[in-house]
Amino acid sequence: MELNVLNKLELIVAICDRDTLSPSYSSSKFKAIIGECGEAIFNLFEKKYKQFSKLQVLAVNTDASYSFTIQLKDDRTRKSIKITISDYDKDSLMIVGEDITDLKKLESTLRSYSSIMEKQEKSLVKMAYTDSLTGIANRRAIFKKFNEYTQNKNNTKGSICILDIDHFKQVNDVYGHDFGDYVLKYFAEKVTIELENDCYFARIGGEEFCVFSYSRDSAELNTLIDTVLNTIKDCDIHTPEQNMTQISFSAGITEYTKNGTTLDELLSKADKALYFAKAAGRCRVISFSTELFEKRDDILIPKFRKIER
Amino acid sequence: MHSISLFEKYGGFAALYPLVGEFYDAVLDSDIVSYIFEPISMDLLIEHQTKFLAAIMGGPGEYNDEKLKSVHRKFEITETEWNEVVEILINTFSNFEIEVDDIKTLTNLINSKKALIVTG
Repeated sequence: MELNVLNKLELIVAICDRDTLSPSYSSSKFKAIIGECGEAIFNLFEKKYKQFSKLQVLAVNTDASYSFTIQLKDDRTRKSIKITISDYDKDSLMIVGEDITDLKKLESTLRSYSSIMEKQEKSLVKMAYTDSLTGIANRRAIFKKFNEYTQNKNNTKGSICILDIDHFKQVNDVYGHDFGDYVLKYFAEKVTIELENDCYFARIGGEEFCVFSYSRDSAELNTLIDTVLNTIKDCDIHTPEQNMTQISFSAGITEYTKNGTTLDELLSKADKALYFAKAAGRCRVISFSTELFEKRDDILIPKFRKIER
Repeated sequence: MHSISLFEKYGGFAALYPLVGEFYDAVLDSDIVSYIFEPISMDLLIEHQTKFLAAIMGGPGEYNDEKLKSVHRKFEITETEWNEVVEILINTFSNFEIEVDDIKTLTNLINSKKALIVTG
């Protein structure tokens, strides 16, 4: 009578001999899903669970049970059944099956969601740090890179350069914005190729770009950017009318020498040097120095904000 | 103006979970197509179904035509089998109270992939 309750509850349970697994009781659900207890059960477990070991069945005692999961078909649906073989009494074992199909399904779905999300997140992060037009790093990215660099107190030799394409407004006005965009992309590509491994290159504004070198002082970066300028100004660009045109840029450089200097401070200095480069006739690279200001303050500063870049 | 995707409209992943579960059970329960899905592990099958369903509903899942074609080729899927799975999918959508017009949109989308899948 008592055991009929187990049938009513549709529990998957059996009591059987420790050695032979021959049954003294099995619930109707056990018979339906797993089968008759006995040698056949061993075979089924072996077939469905590759690591199944009879030794582990024999080792089951009051302290240790043996659990594994098998996949079976119940009617027509696939079921994941967790089998637990545990101690019942001196001569017998209890085999309990637990239907964990829903749990497994949930687990699989969650796993695939999280893999989708991980991928999404990666592409979002990438998007957040990439300039969508040129595909190079953006302003946010260079600030992040600079912060990482300054975290390491040993990093004290680095330089920042702002590059600004000369007469870019005219390019846009004469040839249209599509061509302007093309020039920006072309420029980003060419400069990327010319720069060396210690340089991080980003677009920080309309036609304004920034190079951050981790290991060069301003004189060394000046030399490198000069080489880049020479290459850029020799490049022929096809206009929409199939004419050839060339571009150049002006650049201002400043050095990172002191811990605690912010990128904003450096950019502001580099920007001042850039104005000098523009004012002095464009197509040149100038490094920031205090003497530069002493000498030229009176002549150039008043003009600064009037200069059309 | 960007309109919300069907994925968002019907409740995102929270709604997709039971939908994938039901679709999974239904394909395995079909006399016509269960043999195709039977040997594939639960994890893999659910993974593909989740990514595919999320993606066709405009959510963040993914699939691409080349891959869709290459993974199905070996099954030599026939017209009858294709129709069966599409019908199962439509039934699953209706069970989740997806509006008739939206089901039509999804069915058209799925049918546009037919040539990649039916090779038998």
